[in-house]
Amino acid sequence: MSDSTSVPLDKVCVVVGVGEGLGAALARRFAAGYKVALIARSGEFIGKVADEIRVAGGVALAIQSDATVEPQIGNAHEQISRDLGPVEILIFNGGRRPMGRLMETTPQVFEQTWRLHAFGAFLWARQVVPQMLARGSGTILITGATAGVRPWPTSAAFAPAKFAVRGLAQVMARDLHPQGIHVAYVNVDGGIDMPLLRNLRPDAKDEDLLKPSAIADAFWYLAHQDRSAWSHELDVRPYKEKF
Amino acid sequence: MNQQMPVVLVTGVGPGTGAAIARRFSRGGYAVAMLARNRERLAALERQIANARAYPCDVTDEARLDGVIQAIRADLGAPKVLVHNAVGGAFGNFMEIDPEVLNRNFQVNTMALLYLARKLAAAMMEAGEGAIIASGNTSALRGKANFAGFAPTKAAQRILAESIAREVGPKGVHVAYVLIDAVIDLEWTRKRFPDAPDEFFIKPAAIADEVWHVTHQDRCAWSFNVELRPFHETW
Repeated sequence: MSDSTSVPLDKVCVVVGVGEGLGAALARRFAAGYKVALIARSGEFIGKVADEIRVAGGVALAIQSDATVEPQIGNAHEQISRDLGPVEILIFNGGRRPMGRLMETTPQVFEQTWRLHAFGAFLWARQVVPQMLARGSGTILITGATAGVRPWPTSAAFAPAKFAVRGLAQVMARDLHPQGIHVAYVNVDGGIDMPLLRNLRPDAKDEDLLKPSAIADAFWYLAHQDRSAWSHELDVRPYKEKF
Repeated sequence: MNQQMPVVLVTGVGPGTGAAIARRFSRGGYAVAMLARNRERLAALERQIANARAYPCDVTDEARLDGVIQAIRADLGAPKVLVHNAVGGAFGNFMEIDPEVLNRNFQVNTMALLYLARKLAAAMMEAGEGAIIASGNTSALRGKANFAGFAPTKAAQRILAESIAREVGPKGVHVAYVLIDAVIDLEWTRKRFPDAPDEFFIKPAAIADEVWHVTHQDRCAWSFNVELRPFHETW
């Protein structure tokens, strides 16, 4: 178990899907021990977070890239390898959650959601895994959700996408663990405290929600487990959450 | 040992995982109440581990547990954390085992968790904080032919833990099930698997680190299921 203060900034962590909630917290948390690459479809917010990390003494690279478009991912990965070095940790945090029952969900939304959560993780993993295999080390962490285990009826697009990425995570774990690459899926079983959700649920109390920084701590912990005791799937929820 | 230290009660403190958990919590500033049947082994660990005290007992004896918990409260204070690590095991298919073995394992693995949780949870809820951790294994999820005398009791233990979690979680008490999907690195397992490389085994100290970690998670992000296996394990 490494402590953030003792880790030299010589390894690279990529966070795919950096928005105001968990993504930003993950980038800040891992910046304590890694050079971080922040990936999102829009450049403005990741630019701000990257500046903030650099001001705090970290190394950060913001790259505007769409996780559903293969050539864009290839370019982003090339830039990371060139400017920061080989990727030690890939965190795939991509994707929004559209709400809607079967008949409320358009085929376009269904396909786009699957692309963002499952296909994006697949494409990013294919970029970073060859170098990890060559080294015999690396970590891939994927953000999951309740819908990937026990969905609501209003998750007609979101749940199948989360089931898919959870399946991919299990496949990769069984394939890559024996080769030294740790793959874990974090089931975030509750609402995350971020502006978007506060707007949707104005009555939510602090204790009803997961703090992004606490979830980021769980990711950090997973990334530094002794390899004699790796976890694959980890659930995190607020103490008050019904489950 | 002073009464200001938080107290952890660990059952099944033998040479392996139990001792590693006791050491980890001792290092983290806890007073450690160690429960096991083997008086000599416990006494030796008491001498080795700072702020640890031995309470020899059989965890399936509910009346005896009452006395032990009273003594712990008087000696160290009310336990803030319970780690139920005691385990009764058996090997053999359903025709080979003595049916009494299943019953005995059920007492150690499941009933003892129920007794201990019933005795300790009220004070934890009153304090608004506490943790109950049960150490489980693959048998909690899967019944293999030769685990007929064991797997049913671990499955029951996991479901009991889940029931307790949903009851006491909102009252500030964290219940988690640490599922160990591996062979633990111990003297007797090394003898049983003499040709296995180091990486075949899970280290007791690594398990103890996980128990420590899950016990101290921020309550806005608690885990219930925590599974652990060596990177090389097939699953």
